Amino acid sequence: MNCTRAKSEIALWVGGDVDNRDTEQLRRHVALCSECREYRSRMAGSLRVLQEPATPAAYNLHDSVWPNVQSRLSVQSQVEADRAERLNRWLPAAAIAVACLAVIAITSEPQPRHQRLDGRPLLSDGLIWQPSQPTDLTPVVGWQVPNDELRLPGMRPLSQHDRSVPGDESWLAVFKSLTEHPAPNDHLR
Amino acid sequence: MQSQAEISKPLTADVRPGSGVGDARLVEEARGGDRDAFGELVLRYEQRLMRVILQFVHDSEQARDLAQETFLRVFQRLDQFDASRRFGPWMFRIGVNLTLDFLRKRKRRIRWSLFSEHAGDKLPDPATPDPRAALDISQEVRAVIDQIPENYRSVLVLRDLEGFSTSEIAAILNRKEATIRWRLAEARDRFQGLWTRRMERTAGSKENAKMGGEE
Repeated sequence: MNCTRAKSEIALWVGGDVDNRDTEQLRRHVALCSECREYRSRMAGSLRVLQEPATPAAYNLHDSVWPNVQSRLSVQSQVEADRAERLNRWLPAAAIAVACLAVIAITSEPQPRHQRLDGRPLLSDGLIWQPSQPTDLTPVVGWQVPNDELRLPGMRPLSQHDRSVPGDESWLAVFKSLTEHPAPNDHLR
Repeated sequence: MQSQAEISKPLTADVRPGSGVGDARLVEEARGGDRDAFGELVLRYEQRLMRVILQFVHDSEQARDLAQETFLRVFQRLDQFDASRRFGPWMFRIGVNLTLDFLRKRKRRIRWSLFSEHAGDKLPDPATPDPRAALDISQEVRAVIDQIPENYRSVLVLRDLEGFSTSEIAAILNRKEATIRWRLAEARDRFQGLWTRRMERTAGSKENAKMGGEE
């Protein structure tokens, strides 16, 4: 055992915080090392001083904090009860309001998403289908078409993977509307 | 004066005469809203908690406030208590943390007030005798303990002034026992160094005063 480790252990030893095996090692080291012996003596002295005045201000059970704690707990529970009561008072009104909103939302007729008021289709999110721009929808090789029934000449058939591409529904709506309008490339033929 | 053996009671409080109910049972009942059961726990632990807090704050009124606050928090957090563990260390952890938080806030306030005052006001008057000379031994010890950094001081106070075991301190401070042992050794070493220097200074000043008187 070297002196550095011994000093650290001595600080625990003087307070009875080392086991028997370490105590024996420390005893042997201290017997041989005068510096550590001196350190042990100083450490034991300071610990005695430290542990002597271990009595802070006198305290007895007449000074119990429980009555104060009890009254503060009562106040707290009263506050919580008041809060719950206020909540209960507003809860029916809030529930009725939510129910009314739900009824209004269900009964009001939604505007078709892919159709303008004049009956022309919307491509997606506000883009308007313009029949005068035929090149926009010119079929190309590999262009994915959502439905085999709507496949135009030159388009490849759909695989299972293609069918699962999100957004099929909006394309389907566009192509369904295309069947009711002149084909985009008709004027070129 | 209380001996070290007297204060080194086990952390789990003794069952009060006439109650015969363990902590775990009382905690369960308190969780169910039984205030009397919680009151029983308060009565069991308040004395030791007050003593521990007093070791840090040295002001009995402040210690009472902190003890009250501790028990209120304990009651509010009973749902978070792991029933497979002991109640005592958990309760002391809340109390010690609350106390250390209070001390940190107070230290910040003091620093701020010193910063905002005029520097000239803080210079000691050379005509006034050193007030430290009037301190008794326990106040001297406290003054030295207060110079030790908080990490070490809390371990030193809990072990050497309050007699908790290192495993109990590990549970209270939520650290590994090896860490607590290392901090304890360091804290004792620091206390010893500070104490020795203080005693040397005191002896030197007494010597000077004696020589001045003879002249």
